[in-house]
Amino acid sequence: MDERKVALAAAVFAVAGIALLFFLSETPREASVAEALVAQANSYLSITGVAQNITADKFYLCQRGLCISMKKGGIVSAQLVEDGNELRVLGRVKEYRGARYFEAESIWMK
Amino acid sequence: MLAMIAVAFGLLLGIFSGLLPGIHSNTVASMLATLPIPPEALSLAVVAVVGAHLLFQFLPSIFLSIPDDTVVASVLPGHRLALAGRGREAITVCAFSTLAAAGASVLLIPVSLAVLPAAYAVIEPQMALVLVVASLFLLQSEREWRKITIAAFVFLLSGALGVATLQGAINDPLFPAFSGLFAGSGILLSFTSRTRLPAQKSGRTELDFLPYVAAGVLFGMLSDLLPGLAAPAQIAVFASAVFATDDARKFLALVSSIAAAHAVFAFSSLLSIGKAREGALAIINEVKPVGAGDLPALLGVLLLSMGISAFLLMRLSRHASAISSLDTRALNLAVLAYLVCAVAIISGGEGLLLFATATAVGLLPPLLGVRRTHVMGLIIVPSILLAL
Repeated sequence: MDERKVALAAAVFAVAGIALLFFLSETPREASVAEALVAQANSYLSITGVAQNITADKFYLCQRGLCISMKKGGIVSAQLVEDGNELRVLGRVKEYRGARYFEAESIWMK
Repeated sequence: MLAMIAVAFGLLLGIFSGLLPGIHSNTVASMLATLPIPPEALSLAVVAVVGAHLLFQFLPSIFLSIPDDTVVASVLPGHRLALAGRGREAITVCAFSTLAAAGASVLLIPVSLAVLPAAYAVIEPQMALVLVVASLFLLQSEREWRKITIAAFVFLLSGALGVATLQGAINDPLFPAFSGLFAGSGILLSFTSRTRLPAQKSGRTELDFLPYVAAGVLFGMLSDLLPGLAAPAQIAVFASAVFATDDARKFLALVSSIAAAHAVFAFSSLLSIGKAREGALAIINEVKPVGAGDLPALLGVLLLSMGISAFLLMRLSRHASAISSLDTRALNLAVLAYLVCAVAIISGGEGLLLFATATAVGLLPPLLGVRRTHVMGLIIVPSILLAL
């Protein structure tokens, strides 16, 4: 088989696959707090858990003894969150100087 | 007693996860964290998993060319040695280098506790620049303009694949990505040749690779300063450009040492700059914060786990010749079938798309006549973007 034709076909397939993967990257994945703590930075996840240690700009979402810091951003519903609320949070895993946190995009109370 | 059971349990899990490509030690750690285990025992079990996994991942990497993200750079030279009937020698070099580097790194822990904060403060603001310069250095190693252009295309295509997947919703994306780039493409290409894994020879192993172990310890310390995208693999790629060598054994010693030193210095990184560079360590720290007083026990278990694993690995590698008696085509098909099933179970339908796309990208370097190392753009380009 002509190696150049195989290389061209592989390159075209690769570009098409990458385009499709970019498209799919906007779909969140259900994950546990434990998975979020070891997920790649920028992973788009949906996590459920219980809110704890709420401050003005963040709170901790806890599940089975593990917690991840949640940055509220400008989300209005985040202001209604109270200690002990069971939540579903949609957002991305972020890393600042090596420390993992979760940047919330949407928050639902369960 | 509970501590001993925890270590033994972790050791077995680490051997299991190392032998089965796709089961990452971080995945095992996150699963263990959900079990009702006392925090102290959990910490010991997770550290034992890390040590055993680090050693046993070399077996599928060297004999079947299936990579793990920590030591992915070892796949090509390791499998090359196995194809030359020197797979056992490759295992010996990796096991010895891992143990030597881990031991030296433990001795250097006090130094790293003092050095890492200062080094981090200097390097962190310049991280993107450092990665760009290192990438250009890697590309120019092709020497001819035509090849440099092709290498840049492969590097950027792999980088786009990395950005598309590492930011996405795929569970454990590095497994399908690396499996496609190295194992999937390699297996497809093997169908066009008649390469067969020969009988594996046994013999004395020269220790002329020791300087590479020393370099690996220093690079491993450096890898704990990088952002968290498979840092040991990135460092290994750059280190290989700096320490250009055609000797696969020396390269394997370098890669193994970097991975082992990275695992040890991750503790210094956590204690000195507060950053857990190992996912498994982040889990331990989350369950029960790691203090300086915990270091002797945790590092002791890490070394114990590595020592026992190295011994078992050497014993197991004696039976590696059994692989050479298998039909290569059937073996490759079985490995491909395993990878497809494992990717489907671990990463789902999107993972299969990633595996197929990565396989296509992995076909390009050998077909276009450039080195396969350039597909490491997969983790380097997203790291540059994260560091900007």
